[in-house]
Amino acid sequence: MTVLSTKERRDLIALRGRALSIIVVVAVGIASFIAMRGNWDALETARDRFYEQSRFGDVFASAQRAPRSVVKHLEAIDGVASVDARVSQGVTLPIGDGEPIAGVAIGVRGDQPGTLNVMRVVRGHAPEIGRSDQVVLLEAFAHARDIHLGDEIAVVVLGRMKRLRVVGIGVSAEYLFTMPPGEMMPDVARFAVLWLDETALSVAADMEGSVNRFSARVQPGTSAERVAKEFDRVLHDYGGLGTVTRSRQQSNFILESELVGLRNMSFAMPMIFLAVAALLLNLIMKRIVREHRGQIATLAAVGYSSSEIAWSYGRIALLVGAAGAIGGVALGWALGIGLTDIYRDFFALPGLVFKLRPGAAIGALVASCLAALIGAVGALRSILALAPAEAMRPPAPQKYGHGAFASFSLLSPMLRMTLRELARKPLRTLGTVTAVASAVALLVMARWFDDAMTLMIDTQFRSALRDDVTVNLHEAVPVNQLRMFEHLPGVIRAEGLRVAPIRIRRGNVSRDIAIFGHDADGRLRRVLGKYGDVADVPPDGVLLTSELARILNLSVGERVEVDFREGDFRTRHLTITGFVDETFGLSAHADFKTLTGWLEQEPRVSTVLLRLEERTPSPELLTRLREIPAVAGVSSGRHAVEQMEAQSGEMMVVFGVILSLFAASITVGVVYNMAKAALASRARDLASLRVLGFHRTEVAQTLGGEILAIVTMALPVGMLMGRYVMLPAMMLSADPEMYRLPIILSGRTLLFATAVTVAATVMGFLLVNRELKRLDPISALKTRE
Amino acid sequence: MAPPSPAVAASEPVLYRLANVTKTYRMGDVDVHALRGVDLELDARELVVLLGASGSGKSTLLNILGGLDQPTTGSVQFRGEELSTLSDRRLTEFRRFHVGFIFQFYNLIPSLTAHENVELVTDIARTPMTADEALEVVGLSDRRSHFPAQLSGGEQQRVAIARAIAKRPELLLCDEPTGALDYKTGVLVLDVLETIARELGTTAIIITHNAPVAAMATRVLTLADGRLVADERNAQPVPAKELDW
Ligand SMILES: Nc1ncnc2c1ncn2[C@@H]1O[C@H](COP(=O)(O)OP(=O)(O)OP(=O)(O)O)[C@@H](O)[C@H]1O
Ligand SMILES: [Mg+2]
Repeated sequence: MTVLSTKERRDLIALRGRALSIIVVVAVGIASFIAMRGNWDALETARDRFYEQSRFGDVFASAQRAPRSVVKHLEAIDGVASVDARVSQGVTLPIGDGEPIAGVAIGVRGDQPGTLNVMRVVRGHAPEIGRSDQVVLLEAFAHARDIHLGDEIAVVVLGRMKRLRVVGIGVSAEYLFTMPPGEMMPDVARFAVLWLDETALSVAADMEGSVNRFSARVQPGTSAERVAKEFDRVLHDYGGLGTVTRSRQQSNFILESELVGLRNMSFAMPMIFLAVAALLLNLIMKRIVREHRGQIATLAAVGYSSSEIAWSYGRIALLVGAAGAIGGVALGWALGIGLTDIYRDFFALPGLVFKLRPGAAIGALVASCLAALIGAVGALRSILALAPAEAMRPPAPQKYGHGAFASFSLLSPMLRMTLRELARKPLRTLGTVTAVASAVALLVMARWFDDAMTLMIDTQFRSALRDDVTVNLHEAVPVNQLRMFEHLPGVIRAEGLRVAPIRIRRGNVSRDIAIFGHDADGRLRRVLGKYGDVADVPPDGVLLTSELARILNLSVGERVEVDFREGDFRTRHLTITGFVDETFGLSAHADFKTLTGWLEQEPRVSTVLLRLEERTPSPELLTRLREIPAVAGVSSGRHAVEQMEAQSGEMMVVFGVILSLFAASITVGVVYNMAKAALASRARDLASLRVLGFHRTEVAQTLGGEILAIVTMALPVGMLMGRYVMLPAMMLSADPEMYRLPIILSGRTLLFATAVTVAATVMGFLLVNRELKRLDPISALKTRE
Repeated sequence: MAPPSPAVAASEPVLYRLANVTKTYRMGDVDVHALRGVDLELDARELVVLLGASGSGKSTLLNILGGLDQPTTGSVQFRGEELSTLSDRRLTEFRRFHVGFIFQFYNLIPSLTAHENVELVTDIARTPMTADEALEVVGLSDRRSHFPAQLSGGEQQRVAIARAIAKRPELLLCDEPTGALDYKTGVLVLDVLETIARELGTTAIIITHNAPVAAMATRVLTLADGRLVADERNAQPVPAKELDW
């Protein structure tokens, strides 16, 4: 070990407070990377393994009813490796005395070779062949509904109530996420997936000898899109309801968009922290090199080359980076495991285990060291440029011009001193303001989700979803049946909505969406923009989600091709009359009469909206609803919100707290470093002040001015940065086809960001103040250089 | 071009040959002429005292001799080797292997102990004595693990001397080594320097503002306004211990 490294070590020890604060910032950035990246890896690995094990399909289709022989035609399609055809049936679960829940029953017939989308039984066993009373339930749903192995559940199939025994709990690649019909957010508790013996289900669903649900795997190198088109062609005659490729399969689509978001965040977040760490290192290293001018010159004079010296200082920076990386990997590991626990509830993926890949850890180390070097490079360059002889003389006194603030003679001397200090080093000021501002922006980000959700829920329930209970029907019923609903207990108004599946296309681009038919006199459901503005549904033509218009590159007045997957199954050319900035999903809206005119002779409704005397449905009403065969599922908006808040709310709270702590670490680090630098550069002056008889608090005030000014500037800048840079960037990483949350800032968020920043500032300052207490006037006066 | 080895050195009496050395600093629009044409020959084993008013160019000359700085024009030969055209790397090697510096303000590294400050040099020199030996020479063995802040000025300067001599340099360059010291300590430091220079056969150049110190020199150079104005040889140097000022 050379003496030079001893010196490095001691220099680092002397810097411990400041070094530690940077290490923390690096560690936090790296921890966020490791935690998110590791989970991304874990999710991907678990997904790939599970998809492979369960032979997840490449293409998914459904039709109204097709003879089993259609499989031969599907298998004959060029590029198809294997085809799986099954029976499935929409069902209703009148669980307990709550709202009836919509679900789907899928036929299983043992482990036949060539079966795709294999359901995996995690507890219990599959339904025995020929047994019509056994059912396997999707694990996430069973868990959410507290249903256990051996329980008996009631299931309504085609209006007939059946009692089934839960013999197994299963998972499926097709249902990692489930979404209740007609809704735009996943909710495992309100959509049931059941697996029954195929023969038994065929009988119950009146589907003997027929199939209605198809999936295929394609041969390697084959375009799944092309095969999907062929599927559509073959199934068209059997009431084809559309074919999607894996990328548009609902569960996979949601999973993918979560993964993309996670991956983007795992890069973006650490960038912010590493950039701040680099900036702090830059400030520190510059200061050290300035303070160490004499030492550096001495080293050069006794025969060390300038590159040896520069490298010696570079190692200090590297050590800080490396220490941060190591701490970050450890912290990230712990956080990652915690995050995996949360994700395990959220993604129903079996085998989800957090894994720290060596590559990720090495990448983190390299990135941290690189950031450290980038931060130090300015200081190191000045070491290389330092002529040894020139360094033997003390640095020229700092130039203080009267500068821009000369005219502010009205300002107090203290304030003028502060402003001059800031103006003298504009780059440094800019850097520190940016660093604190980015922390403020992170705080804004931490709170935004809550704001967006609150606003959204608020506007949705005030102006859009004004029904107390939404009743989804298995099949559309004639409008006159609405009267029956109106007479149910507690109901003061019943309105119908016609929802139908369509494929909307332009050129080669298409999307499978739902079209909503709104009654012109309807009051309970309205089409809303992002900010709660009500859009009028035109009597002719269709209104589209603006995101959809972007995808299909459509503008108002143009015509678009629409394949109807219900009613007459015809393709129509419809005129676009307008766009609406909806928050969730992609949809089309039309006038009720117009839509039903396209679909059928006699107008029918597929969803019934109820307004109640009391806002919450009475048990009596729910009982009556459960008895109506046409009812597939019932949901009350309030319930949906509670569910959503319980599910993602908890996760967002955890994220918010962690993110806030992370952001605070930046502010504490920056403030501590600035105060420390000010203390070091003015130690003599400050000590002199003390010697001259000033109180410590008065001395502390002279340190505080600069920090106060920086933080005051950083607050508004950070809020703007959060609003106009970070949130839009974050929205970019979210899939716009899933949701487009409004970018808003609430007063509460601004208050929160301010409060946390001020608290962190005070904390950073108190850390230095502690050292100020220990500042020994004599020793400070003795220090030279 | 490798630095000349000490074996070659013994056969060459002339150590330095300076021809018309000038040094000009450009300060904005003004040129500061620190050296205005210095011609000089120095022999090995001389003990040179360099006198001159403040600002006359003493430090500048010393820095150039020690390879810390380059002349603006002119030639500086060390044992026939032209220093003024050496690369930065070569100049560093020249300092590393041949020169020991002693500064007016000691320039010890505050974060290193006395012993470690000397080790700084023994770590990189070719045939150094041990740090303990060097501290022994200056009589500070018992203070080896003290930090500079725990040493008096004179003690610090002796550590600096130990650091300079530990590499057994051919050249000791001292810029006002006693400037910050009282009379007694100053004499002590000069005595150490003198003894070492004699025992190691080192050429020493000492800058001082104290004219009486010149009595210990074998040669006395005087600078005024960047020019060499006097060059006297002293056949009977007085031992440092007997100096009086
Ligand atoms: N880096 C520099 N930039 C500008 N001028 C310089 C520089 N170094 C030295 N000078 C000028 O060159 C002249 C000679 O300086 P030098 O340090 O050699 O004087 P000195 O004889 O050592 O004086 P002192 O006895 O005060 O140390 C002075 O006028 C000084 O101001
Ligand atoms: Mg000088």
